[in-house]
Amino acid sequence: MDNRLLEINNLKISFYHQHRSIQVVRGFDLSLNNREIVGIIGESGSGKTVSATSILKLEDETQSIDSGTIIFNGINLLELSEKEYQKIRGNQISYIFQNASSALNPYKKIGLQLTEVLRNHKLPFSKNIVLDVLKEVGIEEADTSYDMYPFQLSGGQNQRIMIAQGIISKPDLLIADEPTSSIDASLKRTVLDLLKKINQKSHMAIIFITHDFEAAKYLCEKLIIMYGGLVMEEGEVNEIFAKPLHPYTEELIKCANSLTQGDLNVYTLEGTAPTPLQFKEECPFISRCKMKLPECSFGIPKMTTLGTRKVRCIKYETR
Amino acid sequence: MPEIALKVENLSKHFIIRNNAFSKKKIIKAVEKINFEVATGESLGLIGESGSGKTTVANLLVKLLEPSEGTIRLFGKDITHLSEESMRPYRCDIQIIFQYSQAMLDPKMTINELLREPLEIHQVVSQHQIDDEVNRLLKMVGLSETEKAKFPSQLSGGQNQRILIARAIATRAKVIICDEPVSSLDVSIQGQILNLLMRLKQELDLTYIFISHDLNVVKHMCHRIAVMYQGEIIEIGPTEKVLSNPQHQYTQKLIHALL
Ligand SMILES: Nc1ncnc2c1ncn2[C@@H]1O[C@H](COP(=O)(O)OP(=O)(O)OP(=O)(O)O)[C@@H](O)[C@H]1O
Ligand SMILES: Nc1ncnc2c1ncn2[C@@H]1O[C@H](COP(=O)(O)OP(=O)(O)OP(=O)(O)O)[C@@H](O)[C@H]1O
Ligand SMILES: [Mg+2]
Ligand SMILES: [Mg+2]
Repeated sequence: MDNRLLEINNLKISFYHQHRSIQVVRGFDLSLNNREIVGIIGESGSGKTVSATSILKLEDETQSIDSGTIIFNGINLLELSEKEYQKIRGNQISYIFQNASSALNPYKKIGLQLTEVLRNHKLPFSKNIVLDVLKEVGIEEADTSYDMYPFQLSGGQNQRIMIAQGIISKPDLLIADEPTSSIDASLKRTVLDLLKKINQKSHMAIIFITHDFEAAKYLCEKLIIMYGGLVMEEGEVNEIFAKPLHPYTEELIKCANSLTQGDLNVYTLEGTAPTPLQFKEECPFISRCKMKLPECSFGIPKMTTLGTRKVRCIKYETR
Repeated sequence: MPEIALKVENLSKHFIIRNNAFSKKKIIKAVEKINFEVATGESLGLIGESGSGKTTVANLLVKLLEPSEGTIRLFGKDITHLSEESMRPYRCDIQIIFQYSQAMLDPKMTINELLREPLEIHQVVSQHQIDDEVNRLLKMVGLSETEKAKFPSQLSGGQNQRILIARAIATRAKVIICDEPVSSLDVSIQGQILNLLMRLKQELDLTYIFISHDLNVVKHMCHRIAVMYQGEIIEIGPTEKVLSNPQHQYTQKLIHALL
């Protein structure tokens, strides 16, 4: 088992909001080997970002981890002090944020922000190292961008600055939260190829959070599907797309295909997903599931292992 | 012939940046002499490389930025140099929907307050009709009245994106600029929002300028496409034609890069 880089078990996370505590992640498990790439796909608001940021304890004090373990390189991260955590952030694990406003300092020029990452981690730094990384992420006029502020760059340019920030310190694990959502297809290809290259050359493992099925297929080996604060399904990317097990996964793939096929009215799921305030002790997909049974409301379904795959649906539970 | 909703001539925006007080100025030609027109009820897609000037065009059209040169006509009226004051009657007619992020909606305002705000500022309806109008807007974007007391942080990304749409249609806008309205949403909600935008377009006879890097989305939404490259429109034409027979090298690269 010494190939295991990260092992997360039974993670539950709450927020304290308006005088009460609300659980938003109710079951997050993930295991990642060295240099493996895993994708996370799921409903907006299902807990992808909250689960992933908890690996680095990036949230404020309103967040609490109710249960679970996060073992990274043999150490339970949840037991570390803030000081010990700081050595891991950026050095061994880095995080590419979903929006620029949480990751880039509006008052500092791009070049300085990237140089600081290197300096903070006591790595060699020079303007040329920074310019090289900027060129790698497809910033053509790297020299000009080096001296610009985030507000002077376009959405997609800022997104790539954040990618540069994430890879510049060559971490063991990169968590990339929708890193390609604001860039066009040809740049997306450049960025995904770059992540692949670093993964192979520098043995960097990647957690890739995305809504983009094509990007997930292109980059990832394994995939996790989330809904309602729970991991619903896990398995090899190709197997999941060829034969989704969970009814939610199946519906999601149908939605994605509908747009690609050019349907006049895009196929969508009826209704909305439950918000954390509406969570009950039942399958969260129950109200939208076409295959639901009375038993679906008898508690949260357990994760069932079927060979190389896992699924959280009573259809597969052996009784 | 339908009326021309928006006509843009020779529109440019140059940004001047200076590294420090002593260095030479550098001019960034974000938008360079572009021309296009959009008919009432039409949807024009705007695609192009990251940094090609799409968002700058959007900001120019809704007058969040002053152009360096050129003219913008809204239903025939030259609005290019209107002051804040004289622009007011036209500001209702043209609205923008950005990609939802936490910075887009004031976290201290409830959904009710967020929807009342544009109605009050633009005096769309009389004071005693505002509550009904808020309910009507919520219904139009497929949200229930029970969401009114909530704060943006208590809604999902897709629901907040609907609030942005409701705020844009609140002023009875005729022209709506959408800058990546679905790129941060999961595919199921993405479909819901696209269907919603299509339905609103028909019901309210809206004109869209639709910015997206997802060619499937643009294909679905737009009659015509304009392709931007380094600040210029390098190609413009019917969607099918541009995508099936791209003339410019960059457009070809963009289409073939599809994963
Ligand atoms: N600081 C916070 N306080 C209270 N609730 C929060 C906070 N941050 C997130 N949440 C809630 O936790 C849930 C999970 O949010 P999360 O950001 O992880 O979703 P996500 O899966 O990343 O969605 P998206 O695809 O839209 O990015 C949501 O219901 C969200 O409203
Ligand atoms: N305030 C500003 N000051 C200086 N330069 C700017 C400013 N705003 C934008 N630019 C520059 O103008 C160019 C066009 O930016 P714009 O945001 O319009 O691109 P875009 O086509 O929307 O790109 P994306 O697809 O990445 O969002 C970029 O090179 C950007 O650096
Ligand atoms: Mg997220
Ligand atoms: Mg933009």
